[in-house]
Amino acid sequence: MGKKIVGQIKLHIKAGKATPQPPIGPALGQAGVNIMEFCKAFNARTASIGDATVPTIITVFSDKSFTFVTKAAPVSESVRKAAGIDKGSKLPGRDSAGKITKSQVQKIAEAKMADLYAIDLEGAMRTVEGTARSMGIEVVEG
Amino acid sequence: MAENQEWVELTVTVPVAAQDLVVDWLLEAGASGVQESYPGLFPADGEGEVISGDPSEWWGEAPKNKSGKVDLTAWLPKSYLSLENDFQGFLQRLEARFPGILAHKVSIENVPAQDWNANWKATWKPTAIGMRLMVCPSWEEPPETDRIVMRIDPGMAFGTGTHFTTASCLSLIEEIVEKTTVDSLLDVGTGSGILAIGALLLGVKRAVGIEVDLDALAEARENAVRNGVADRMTVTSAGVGSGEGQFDVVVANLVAHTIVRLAKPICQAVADGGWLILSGILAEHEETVDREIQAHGLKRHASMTEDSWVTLLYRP
Ligand SMILES: C[S@@+](CC[C@H](N)C(=O)[O-])C[C@H]1O[C@@H](n2cnc3c(N)ncnc32)[C@H](O)[C@@H]1O
Repeated sequence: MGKKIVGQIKLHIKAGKATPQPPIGPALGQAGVNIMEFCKAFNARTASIGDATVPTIITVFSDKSFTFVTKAAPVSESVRKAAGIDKGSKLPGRDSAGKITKSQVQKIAEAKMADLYAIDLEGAMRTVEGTARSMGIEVVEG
Repeated sequence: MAENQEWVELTVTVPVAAQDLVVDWLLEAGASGVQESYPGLFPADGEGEVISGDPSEWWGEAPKNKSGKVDLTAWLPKSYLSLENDFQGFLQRLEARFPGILAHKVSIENVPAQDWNANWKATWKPTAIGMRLMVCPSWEEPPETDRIVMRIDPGMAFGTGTHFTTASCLSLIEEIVEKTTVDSLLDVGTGSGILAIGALLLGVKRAVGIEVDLDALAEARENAVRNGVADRMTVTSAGVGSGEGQFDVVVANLVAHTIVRLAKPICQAVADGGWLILSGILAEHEETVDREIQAHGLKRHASMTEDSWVTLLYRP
């Protein structure tokens, strides 16, 4: 106990693939953390997740040690996976046609409830649907 | 990892509600990651500043983000030439759902290749390990000591001795060398070369370091030269089990799933009467690793643990 917190950093990074390059390099370098040590710990903990982006919150203490927590993948990524849209199969930004069912929306909403600041499941589902539409993905019954 | 890769840094302010979509676009466009910041927001009871991140994820009372906005910073390869155009086009499509999103300036700046670990390096001081070794950063004057001094520059490689996984492996190597004569050592995932070099300085006759990361491979070679053991150390990117034979000591500080994947060739590389040291294992993966290694006929001899890391010692 008694370790002073000197900062907190939030990054969206690929599971199991942390390297000392940006964004980890500049973000943690600035805080004086040993980047290689973070990469090792992060990769050890997230390697089994597979191909996904993990929102990660790193807390840095005054002795340059750190802890971190990882959160559920962002809604848009879950939506893209549910719609079966391959990574890299579209140009970034180009609207991608795809479909996602109501029950898939519900699953994603349930998994992300805590992160969506939604009071109820309905609200969370509306947020997920909104995200899907902005991505050019149609929400269908089922 | 390409240390010399050049990046551009893209920074944009967006409404919190649009954040997920923007982050997703940036990652799809090839960003290596995205950082979130809420400038001007401080946690109610934290002791320091929030470098980035949402203070509402901090403990204590959540401060209110009155602006409803978040700063996003992404790093993309410099080779993506139409980035600015493409990104503006994307924001234009978002304008209908998030009016005003186009009003914010998008900044795109070049980031020269650099040693991101420089800040940390400045705080790394000579460290005693085990009973006989002292690891000293190559750029520091070694202190007065009876210990054997090992000079290391990790560059962008892992292995300074400050991490438990490295220090525990070195201590075990030292104990084994005290007990018996060790002619040969295999270091799988040598990183900065620290384990192999430490072993050679402690009296092991020859060592082989295996490494997949080409940057680390070069650092390991330089560190071997720096410590005058290059003639007794081979550093190679050849896979484990590609004909280097058997060793008195095999040490592998990797992550659990790599150890499991390489278990067979690693176990086969241990000579009769030899030793196997495994580290880089999180407590939650210890059982899986242990089962795998015992299945290859080795017996557990000892273990060390700190925080959530575990180091295991086996013998045939
Ligand atoms: C945690 S570092 C250990 C460095 C050093 N031996 C130490 O103990 O500090 C693990 C190293 O293993 C390397 N590595 C990962 N997978 C590997 C593999 N399949 N074969 C050889 N090296 C590997 C990584 O590039 C990294 O440099």
